Amino acid sequence: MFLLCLIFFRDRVVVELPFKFNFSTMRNFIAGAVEAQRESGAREIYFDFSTLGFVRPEGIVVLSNTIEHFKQANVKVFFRAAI
Amino acid sequence: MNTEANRYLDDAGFFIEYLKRKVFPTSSCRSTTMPLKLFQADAYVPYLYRDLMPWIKSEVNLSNDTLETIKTCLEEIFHNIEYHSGIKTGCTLSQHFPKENRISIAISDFGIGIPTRVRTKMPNLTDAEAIRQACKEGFTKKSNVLNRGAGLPNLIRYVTQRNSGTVLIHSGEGYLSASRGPASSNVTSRQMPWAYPGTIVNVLLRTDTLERLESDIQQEEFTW
Repeated sequence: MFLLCLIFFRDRVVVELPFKFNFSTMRNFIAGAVEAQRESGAREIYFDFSTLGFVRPEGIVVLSNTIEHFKQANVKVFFRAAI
Repeated sequence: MNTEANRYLDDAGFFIEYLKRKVFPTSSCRSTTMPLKLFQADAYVPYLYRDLMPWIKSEVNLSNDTLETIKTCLEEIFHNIEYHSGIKTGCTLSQHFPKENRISIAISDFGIGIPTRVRTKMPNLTDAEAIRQACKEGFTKKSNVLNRGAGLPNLIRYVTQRNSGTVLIHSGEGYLSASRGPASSNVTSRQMPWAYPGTIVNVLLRTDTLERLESDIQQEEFTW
């Protein structure tokens, strides 16, 4: 289990990456990122890497795919706490 | 904060791709990792032929025939992005887990998805039904005259029945998993309550059974 934390501001969505990021945990991440941005209409999305504890190859690909999805939708993507 | 996971991201080329710099000064690509690659859908061949396949060859001791079979299977996935996703780019990353005797190959695109494409031929299917349909024998050939790959059914059959590996596909709200069955692949598809933005395919190859690919092919050729 992991806790996905979403923080909504007026024009941004903050998404904490799941502690364990793999094929079976991507659901909450996608919902938290893609659906939250769509519903809020936010033009900025922040991915918080401080919560990431373990990532499988498919998790990296899902993250990359999601970023490309936002880039195509002209949503600005930012990284938080990558180190 | 767990820095190991972020270091793996760095080693896998994620931050180089998006920040144009490494986050950890000592990061470097691991020999067991084929780093993150964003590729043009119509230009996957150089990556597959010159990068991914040589990497697989370097990681596991396999015959050329076996590698050729794997290449044909993977080509189908890239081919589907090129001709069916409606998008120009995809991303992929592969990892060898020597202790698990596994190679994980993840390929994704954020295109229209397999269900949408299938419904141009069969409009009443749910996403789960559509993704299952795309994996049935004969469907790919009927729907695509430009098919260069071996078709999703062949991909699944080779990976599950000959390699005892696993294929996972999530596209739109459709989810399909395929694993080895007693006589044919054990394929299940489900309708999910959420949609993946595009398609992701995760192929898990077993490295301790890969040579069976070659022996099975030779047996088939002899029988034929």
